[in-house]
Amino acid sequence: MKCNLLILRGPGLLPLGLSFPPSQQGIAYSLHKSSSPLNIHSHFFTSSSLISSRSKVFCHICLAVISDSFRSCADFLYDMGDSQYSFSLTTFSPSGKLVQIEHALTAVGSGQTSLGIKASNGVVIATEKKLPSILVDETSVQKIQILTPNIGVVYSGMGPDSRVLVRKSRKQAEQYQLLYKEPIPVTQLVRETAAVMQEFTQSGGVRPFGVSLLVVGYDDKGPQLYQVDPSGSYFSWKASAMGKNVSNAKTFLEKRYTDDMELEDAIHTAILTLKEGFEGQISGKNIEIGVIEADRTFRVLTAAQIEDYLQEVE
Amino acid sequence: MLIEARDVPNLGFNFDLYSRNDMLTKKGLKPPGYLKTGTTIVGLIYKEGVILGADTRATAGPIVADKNCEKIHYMAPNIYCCGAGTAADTEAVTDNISSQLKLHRYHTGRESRVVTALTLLKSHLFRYQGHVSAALVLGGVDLTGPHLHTIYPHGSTDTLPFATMGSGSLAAMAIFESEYREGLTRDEGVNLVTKAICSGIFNDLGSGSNVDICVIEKGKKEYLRNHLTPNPRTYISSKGYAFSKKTEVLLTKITPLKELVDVVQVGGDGMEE
Repeated sequence: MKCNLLILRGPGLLPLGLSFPPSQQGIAYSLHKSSSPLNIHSHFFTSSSLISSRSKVFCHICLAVISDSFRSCADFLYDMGDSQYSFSLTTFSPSGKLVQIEHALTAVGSGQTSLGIKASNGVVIATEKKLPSILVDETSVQKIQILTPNIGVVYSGMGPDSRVLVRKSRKQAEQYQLLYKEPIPVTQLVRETAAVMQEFTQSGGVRPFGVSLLVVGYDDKGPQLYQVDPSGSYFSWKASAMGKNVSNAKTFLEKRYTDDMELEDAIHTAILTLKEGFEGQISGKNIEIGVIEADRTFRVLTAAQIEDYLQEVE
Repeated sequence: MLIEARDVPNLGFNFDLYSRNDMLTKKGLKPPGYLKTGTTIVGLIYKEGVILGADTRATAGPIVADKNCEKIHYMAPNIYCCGAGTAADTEAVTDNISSQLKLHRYHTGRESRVVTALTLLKSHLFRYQGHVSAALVLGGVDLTGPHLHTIYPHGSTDTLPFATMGSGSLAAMAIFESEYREGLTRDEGVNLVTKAICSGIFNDLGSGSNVDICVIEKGKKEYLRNHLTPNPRTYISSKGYAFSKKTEVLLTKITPLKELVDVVQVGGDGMEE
């Protein structure tokens, strides 16, 4: 007597197992919770049974507990669209807000402080670099990243998310350069990065990025500073801060900022703003500063250079 | 929607239209021609680094299409690549790999290595099974020292102390084989490369015009565009034709034509018949 055992695993479902007719011999089926929302497995086991004349006949039927809806046993093909992961995690709430984006902004707000200031002849970004323990090798951590020779970026929020965005932005800048044979303008790169972040608020199975970026660049339009949020919206700022100490930092910047500020003043102001909310002793090893001067090249200052500025500030 | 970890494209040529093109050729349609670079390209390793050299003629069949094209392409600040074969192919391939190297530099924070450029180029060419007709001489200096490689259109490579490629490669190689030695100085190297390219320029129809040189050392490079111009273009003088000054003027006499010949105006408006 042949026995057919059909096991199906669908996304977000417990497996549906049917066996008919029943068999006594070694039917093994495993119950796994599907970990990947995009996998559909079907296993077919055929085993011949040795049913003795005196064996009892018993039937195994397990019915799947389906989270959304109850399906008939004959329906072996699961439509991916009906699984619980298929709709976007960013769905509108009755009040018209996208709650996931609000939460993403909270994640940003609990990240380390970072800020940027646009001067008349350049632009500066700075961030805290608080490491979880003194044992961490601080030379291996760099929060401020270069995107093109004249555009740099710093983030507040989840580091790994920012790495993905930095990689994507660098590639987009290169593709623009290959296509138009001109270096990408800052606004274009910001627009494309923001478009990526917006994609992740309107797709299935993904979550918004937990970072806000401060993008600085110096092109033909002069020095520029942009902030890009998890929602995909971007703003051009004269000076801005994000992360833990944002309200104090912004008030401080509003007081200190002048339109005709020079880059050196801007760097001093940036350091002072960071110092405001800094817990512990500020030094060249636990902050990072990136600048673009009139030569239009983005560079990250070394610890020694930051120490020099810190001494000037005191 | 998912972001790819690899920045390298995976596609090759699409041959779906092959039978249609074949049918059109049989019916008499001529396929469009392409610009080849005939070419003599050379490279050699000297004491402190690498010197690359190239001629500057681009041909379309028997016609010289570009008298002063650039065949030494930028790959990285410390790596340059000479290209022979179809001009569009060499341009596209070197541009593409140069872009990939740039992204790699951003991700690693390090200077590009010549072997990286070599591997990216040969993988690309192999993927296209020789249909990308680009024969390259790749040279550069990285932290492991100076390197010089040749890459053939199907994707095979050689690592050599001196190399030549292109239709003029035999003429240039003759010069290298007889005069190359290890430990050349910069000037000796440049002279040898110039000599080899000139040999290609004068003895090969596919090569001509000027000599381009690129000298790469640790930490610096010099791109000597039109280092030597042994084929200057002569234009018609704006002064018009002038007798050479040695001709003596013996007599100046002006005779109006009317004194010798009767000039009669035919009735009507002249030009009209």
